[in-house]
Amino acid sequence: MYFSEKRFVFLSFIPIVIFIVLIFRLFYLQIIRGDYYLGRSESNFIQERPISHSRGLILDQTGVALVDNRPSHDLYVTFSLLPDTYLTVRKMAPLLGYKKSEIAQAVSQIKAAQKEFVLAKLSGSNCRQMETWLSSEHTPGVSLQGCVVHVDPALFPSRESALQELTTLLDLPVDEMQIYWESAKKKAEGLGQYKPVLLVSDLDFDSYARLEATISLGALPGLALFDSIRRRYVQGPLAAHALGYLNEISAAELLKKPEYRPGQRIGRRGIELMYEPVLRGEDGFERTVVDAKGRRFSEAIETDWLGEDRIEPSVPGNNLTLSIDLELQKAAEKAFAGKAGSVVALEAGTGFVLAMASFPAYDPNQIISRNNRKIFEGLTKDPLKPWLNKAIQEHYAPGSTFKAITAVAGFEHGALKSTDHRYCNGLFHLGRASWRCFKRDGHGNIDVVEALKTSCDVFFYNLGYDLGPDRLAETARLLGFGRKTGVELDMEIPGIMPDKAYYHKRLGYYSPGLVVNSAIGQGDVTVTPLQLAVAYDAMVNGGTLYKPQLVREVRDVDNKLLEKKHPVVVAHLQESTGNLALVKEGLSHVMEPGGTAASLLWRYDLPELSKWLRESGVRMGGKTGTAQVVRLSKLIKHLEPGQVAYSERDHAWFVGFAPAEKPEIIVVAMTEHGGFGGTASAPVVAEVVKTWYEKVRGKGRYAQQK
Amino acid sequence: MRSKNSSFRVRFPMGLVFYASLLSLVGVINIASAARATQPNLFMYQMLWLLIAAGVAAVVTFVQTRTLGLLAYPFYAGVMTLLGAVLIFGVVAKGGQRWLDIGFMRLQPSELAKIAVVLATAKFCTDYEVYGGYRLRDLIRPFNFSRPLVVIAACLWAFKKFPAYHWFAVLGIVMALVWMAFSFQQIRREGFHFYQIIALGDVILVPFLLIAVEPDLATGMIVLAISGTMVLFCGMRTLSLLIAGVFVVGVALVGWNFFLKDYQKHRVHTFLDPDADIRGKGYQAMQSMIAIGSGQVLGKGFGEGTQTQLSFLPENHTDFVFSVLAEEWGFVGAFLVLALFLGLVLSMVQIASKAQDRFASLLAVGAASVVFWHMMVNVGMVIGLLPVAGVPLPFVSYGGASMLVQVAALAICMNVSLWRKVR
Repeated sequence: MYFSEKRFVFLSFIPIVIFIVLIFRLFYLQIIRGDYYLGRSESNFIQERPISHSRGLILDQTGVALVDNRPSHDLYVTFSLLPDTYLTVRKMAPLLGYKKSEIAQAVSQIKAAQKEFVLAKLSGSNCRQMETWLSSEHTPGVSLQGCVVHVDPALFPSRESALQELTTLLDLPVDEMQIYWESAKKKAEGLGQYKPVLLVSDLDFDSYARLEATISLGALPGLALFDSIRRRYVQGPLAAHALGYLNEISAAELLKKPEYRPGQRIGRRGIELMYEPVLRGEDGFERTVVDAKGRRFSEAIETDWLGEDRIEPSVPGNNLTLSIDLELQKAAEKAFAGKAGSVVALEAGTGFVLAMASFPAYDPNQIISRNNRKIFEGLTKDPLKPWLNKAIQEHYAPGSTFKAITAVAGFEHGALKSTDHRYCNGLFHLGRASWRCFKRDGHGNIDVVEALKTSCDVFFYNLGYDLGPDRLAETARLLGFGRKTGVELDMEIPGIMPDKAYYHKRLGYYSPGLVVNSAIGQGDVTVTPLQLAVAYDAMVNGGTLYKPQLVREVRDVDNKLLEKKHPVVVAHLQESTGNLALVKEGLSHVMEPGGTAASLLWRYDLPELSKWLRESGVRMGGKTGTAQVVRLSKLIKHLEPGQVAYSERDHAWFVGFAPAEKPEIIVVAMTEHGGFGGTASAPVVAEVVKTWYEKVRGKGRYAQQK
Repeated sequence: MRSKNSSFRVRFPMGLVFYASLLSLVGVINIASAARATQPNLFMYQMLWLLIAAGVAAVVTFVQTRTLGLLAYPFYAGVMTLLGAVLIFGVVAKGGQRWLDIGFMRLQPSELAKIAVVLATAKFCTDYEVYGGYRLRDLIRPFNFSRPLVVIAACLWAFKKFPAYHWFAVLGIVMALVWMAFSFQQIRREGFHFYQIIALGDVILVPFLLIAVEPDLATGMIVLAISGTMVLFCGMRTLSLLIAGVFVVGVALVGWNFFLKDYQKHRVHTFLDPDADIRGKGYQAMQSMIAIGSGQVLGKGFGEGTQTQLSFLPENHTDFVFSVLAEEWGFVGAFLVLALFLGLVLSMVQIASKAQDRFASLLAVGAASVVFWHMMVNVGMVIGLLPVAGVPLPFVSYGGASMLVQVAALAICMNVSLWRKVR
């Protein structure tokens, strides 16, 4: 032994100490932090790909699809993969011998150039390397002539040239394409540039085919086509306001709703909004194995590694069966003759809505289309307010239709007896003021049935004065006035039912003249068409107020019944049915000779409808109403609608029900600025009732009603 | 005959062969898994390299230790020449100029340098022994006459290159001549020996500098560590050691600020914070730690390591081969392999302690440090204790050059063990 033993012992210590250090580190990594790193390794190679679910269908009450889904193709862009001048120059930089600062200079040189120019001259070994590089990389616009690098700026990879090529392939206007491009760019800020973001949705078949071919050749790096499912409103604008529409979820909402993915659509209006949780299913996901370059493996390997449960199938949304009937809805929309207004049809005695139309309407398919900006602007600017669902989101003075409510209030509070007669001489005096009946020479001594039939103003002026505002309001509220009906639609408004407190608050005083006005539905009292329909239903069905409903059933994708909606009773009237029958009788005479809507029996412009009304044997009841828009002096001679400017014409109401003996359907039509209710709105109601008898009644769920 | 046979058995280092064979076997199996997806036949090549290395080992083992001593300087000189040639004719790849193209294969002289410094340092330390340990001036020997000669050569070159400043060169030559006078004084006092030309410090630093400027700092450091271990083992005076320590720290600071290349600084930054940029520079270190950590206690099993098989782990059959092992065989496998390395290094030290003379003992210490430093730097790097550097794991990483060097180191040890005197 040449060196001392001590020296070797010391030398041996070094590997032993290092060994212990390494083992401790391994222990820390593999045993203490093992689970953490296992998770990290799994998130490396397991990629979860969402599987989109299909949204539930919306059907009418006979099972016809009003809203369904259709396949579509969307174009996505990954900005980081797009051809890029800077990146290309940076890739070439080592071969050209560029420093970092020189790259930017070369980029601006290429961008500024108009035609082919010499970028650099290379020496021997760099020249050979450049040659091999050019032969392996797809770099259009760069050519090597001898050892001189030529660059053609028009062909050189850049985002601009990619966008231009894309615009040509898609055959889209340049400015439209620019809008899509900018909005995609906005979405791709930050880390988004590494993910595909939606560029153009719902490609037409020709552009899809062209793009598909070009992308499969590898000529458009960074662009990809994905299949998706789009909502389709089968009947176009039909029932658009009730059905609603979808829109892309916003970034702010995504934070609150983690179950949604960016780019997904969410209900915005109507049924689509209110039944979002029902219609929306659950996205599934597929766990896939990817390697470091993001390449996928065969499904067999993936199943082997991740197990059979690697695919979680998506759950489709549930289907809704509405109470809306396609035939009635069509009839309502077809018959409506005015510019703006609404039609509501209720199933009597249940509150189910058979039709709900608002005018003017829009086509939800256009709202959800990719180029919807102009359509949005147009609809927003339209003075006829097409965005509003006027059946629930607009209120009007009920006009004469309110007289029935005044009558019921009279019975309720004992101010009116079934045998009571009141004398109409054409005028009602209160102090120094006087109100005129629309029939100048008066109706004479009439009872309530006659008063309703002829719509005598003076009878109800008297009755209203006797009741006072609070008692009138109490009954009206019982019938749903002044509060929301609770229909499952968004942005319903309650209307106004004034009482003394209301007048004190609004005007600072109360005078009996106000209730005289209210009693015939003028003044401050307002109501939505749906509220009026519900109130009339209560009056003619024997006194039960129902909550209006649009959905009858919720069924899952296998048509299994999940939920069946039943009529919901909101209130009962106290008054005996005998008195209500009197009101109903009064309303039943409205369409008979002498009634306010009698002219409907002999309309020259609607011969078929008039003939049906005369000859079908169906007895239809109803009430006309005219809501004054501008207070015209009663002394002025009655003006024809045509003589007044559109925006100053009266709103025209008509409430109808049939058959008068035992009503099955209630229909309310409101024609904005339609003039007289019996003329403008009554034919719409009659048409819906006619359709009820001809196409709906006796079939399907109404098979017993023969 | 009988006694000779039995003394062979006594001399033959069975433990050494056992540890090294087991490690090589682990290596082959591990490469079969690591390269399964990309190069499924790679483990066959590794076996081929093992065979070739065994041939080299046989030669190195059975020549006399004295012969190794005779070959030390010529081999060293040859390797230094090749290192110089690499800087001029070398092939550029992976950010450095490290390879010599010699027609049928690429030669990496820095690998040969690892063996060359073992031989030359052992030889030098044997021939130049200072009682009580080396002082700093024994390592540097500032009055060796080779020093002024180099200065004169440099001045002549400068004279030709920058004629405008010729009087600087003239001044330099005059000073060098004065310097040389001191050199002759030293020779007259000590007599002429080889160490009047070259100092121990030159033997250590020249290969380090030649490799570091390629640039391949990691290999240069390994070479420096090997010869440094040997010199420190010989013994240095405490004061000299302290001064040298301060000097090394100073050089490191200057080197960091002025000489390290960007990619080398990157690696250090990456090492300090691998999570900072997972997609970029920290990628390798992070993926390696994920591979090792996810192996947990028992590992994912042969060929089942997801980091390895799905190519998240970079360089998985060369520099990061230990991560593959730790991922697929877990803490148990990694522990056993490290234990094998510890056993191997300790038995090499054991052989050194029983060597017949100073040269043989230093050879064995040098061989042990070749294996040890590679193992430590490689494992330290893959488990995130050291910056990422291109250092292979002995006997386990794929690669002919690495295998040849490590087996040669092993063979040197076996040689020392076989040719010692047995009482």
